[in-house]
Amino acid sequence: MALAPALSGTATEARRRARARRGVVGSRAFPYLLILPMLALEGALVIYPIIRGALFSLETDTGLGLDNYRTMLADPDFWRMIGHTLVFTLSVDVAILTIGLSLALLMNWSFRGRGLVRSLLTIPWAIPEVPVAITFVLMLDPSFGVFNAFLRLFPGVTENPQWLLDPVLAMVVVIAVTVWKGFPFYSLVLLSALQSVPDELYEAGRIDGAGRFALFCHITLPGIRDTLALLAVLAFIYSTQQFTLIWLITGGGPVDATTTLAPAIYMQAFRFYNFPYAGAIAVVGFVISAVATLVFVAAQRRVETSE
Amino acid sequence: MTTPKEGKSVRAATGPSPNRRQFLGGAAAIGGALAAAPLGAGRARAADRIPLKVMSWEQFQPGEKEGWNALFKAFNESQSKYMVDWTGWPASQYVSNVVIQAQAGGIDADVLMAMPDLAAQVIRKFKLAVPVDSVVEALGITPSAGHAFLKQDGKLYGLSAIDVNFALIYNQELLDKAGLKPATTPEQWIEETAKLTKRPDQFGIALTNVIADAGEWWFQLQNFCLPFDGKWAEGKTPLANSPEVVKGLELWKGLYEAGVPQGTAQSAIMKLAADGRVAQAFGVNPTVVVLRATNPDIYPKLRSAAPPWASKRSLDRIHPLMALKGKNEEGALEFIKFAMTPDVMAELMITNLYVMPPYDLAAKSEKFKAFLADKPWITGFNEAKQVSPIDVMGDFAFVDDQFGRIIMQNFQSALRPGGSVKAAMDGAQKQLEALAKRV
Repeated sequence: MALAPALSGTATEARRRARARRGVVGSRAFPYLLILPMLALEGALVIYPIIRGALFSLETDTGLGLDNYRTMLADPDFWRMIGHTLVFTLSVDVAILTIGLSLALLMNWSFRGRGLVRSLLTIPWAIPEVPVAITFVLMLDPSFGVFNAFLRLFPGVTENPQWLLDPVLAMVVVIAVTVWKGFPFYSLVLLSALQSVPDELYEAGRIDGAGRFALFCHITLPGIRDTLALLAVLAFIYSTQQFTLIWLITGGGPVDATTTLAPAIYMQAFRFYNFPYAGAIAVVGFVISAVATLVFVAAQRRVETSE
Repeated sequence: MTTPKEGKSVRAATGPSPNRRQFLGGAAAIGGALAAAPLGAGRARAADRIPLKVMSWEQFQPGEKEGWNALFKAFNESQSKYMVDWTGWPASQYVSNVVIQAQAGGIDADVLMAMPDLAAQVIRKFKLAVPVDSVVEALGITPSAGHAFLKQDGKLYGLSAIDVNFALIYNQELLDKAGLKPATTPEQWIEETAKLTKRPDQFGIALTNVIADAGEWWFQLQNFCLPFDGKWAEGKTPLANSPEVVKGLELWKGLYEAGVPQGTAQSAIMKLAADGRVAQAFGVNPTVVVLRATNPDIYPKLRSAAPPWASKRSLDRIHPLMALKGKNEEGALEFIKFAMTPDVMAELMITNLYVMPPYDLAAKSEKFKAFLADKPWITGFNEAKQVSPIDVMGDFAFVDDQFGRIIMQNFQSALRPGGSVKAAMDGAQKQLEALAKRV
């Protein structure tokens, strides 16, 4: 019986000696030391600007207060902008994931030239946003654009659609271009997720008599669910933050039909120099993104728990 | 006579004679040293000088930067105390960046080139400018009438570096073909524009009309309070739905429907004009420079006429050079004085095709007088009566961009079929009244 404490003491002593031999590397603080530079960087470049921006939004002519938020919430333009943001974001989210998944499923089939097709599909992702926007503006020109040139070939089309002058069409255009620009990334990530689903599961399904649709619903979708959920969050953030394409294609117009969160913040801050008000809108944007992310994470956990 | 012995001793005293390789190497070293000497001396001189920073957007302007670079070079060569150099951003980002610096307490430059609204802010709001009256006095010049907005408490705070005003630019060949003369009334203007339009091959007039080109659009549209003698605002009271402004915007809408490439980006409209497919443009004098740069063949066909309304008033945007408060105020004034010297200014204006001088330059420079005589396209610009944007914007001159954005966003709804300018401007008026509370 007396042997156990002695052995235990020896082991403790041995661990202590080993730690002493390893010095700082062996200490418990070592992992924290390793992440310290990253934390400092994040703190200085992410956390501090967020806090500073939030404080900015509280600045008023008479000191600190909630005046900017009161003005913002009473402003019909703000609510219109939130409406446009939701329409844009949800449309982009649904379209980009649907197209991304459809193409990933096609790419998952083996056919001749698959490698080439995959490479071609990544082109929109590889082109910078500025030339994309300029090219689309030229292609959508009502008088000289290639879109209308093709459209006029169809019987019954007698007038040139004014793509960027009509509020509904302008929104459709910015959604379409954003989806076109972003879908390859989602497609490629989903393709790699599809390839990680074991073939044995499909074989077992087929033996059990499952058709293609049943295989997709019961094997494919559950197999890529986590990736899909993550991509949904990323697509939401990608579209909420979209600025370059919207600004260069429509400038937030016509009227304010395509003014979403990012162009609204830019306009208030850097065109009208109303930094506190821009800060208030940015805080709302931050809250929307954070809530959306939490909702997605919570939904995913609920599904996992139910299984 | 030297004996062989003597000769030997002389050679021994001076050392062995260099072989061919050594000789060439030595020559190269001497040559290199000689070549490097002026560079070294130049560097030393540059280091001894006081650096002067000129903040501007001109260094990014094709067709203009060369003229300014030549002026900088001439200044640096004309004296040995200062060394002037550029700082700044392209025009689209310029005002916001300068304002951010000014709000933070100071502008990081010694000389500032500014757009009119920015100049007004630097003088009145940020109080960062130094009077330039000493330059005016030393040169014995009388600044043009457009300088009025640069005055405060009897002192002048800037001298025009670039002065652009609006007029009706037209392609004489296209007007001659249609048997037309430039319009002189708003009604005639719309009528002629329709006659000159054969979509999509030819358009009657180039007007910026998409909000993605918001800056350019407002720059032009701001003039349309003038055809019926209106103003956008008086003090803090916006006048967006006043009868004069509404009639002015109805004129714009009439032109838009008659012959504008609708929904076409500004860059594409300019290309159409340069290709000879647009008969008229309501633009500033540098528009001619841009058209000439895009297509030199179009240049001889371009002419200008006064704005086609009774008062002939159009916006005149003086972009002044201003000396900024700081440790180099004296140098900044020295540079402005140099730039304003008749011969130097004439050279700049001729190189950059500027036609609106800061003072009566033609009376002081024969070269400039001859240059003007050779430019048939400047008639309309000279006939236009100058109005500063500050005079039509009231207190909203400090929020010019936001004011313009509100007008354009509301005005766009009037451009749709059946849209009413009055209803659109009633909407704008309400938004501007809310904005007035923050001005």
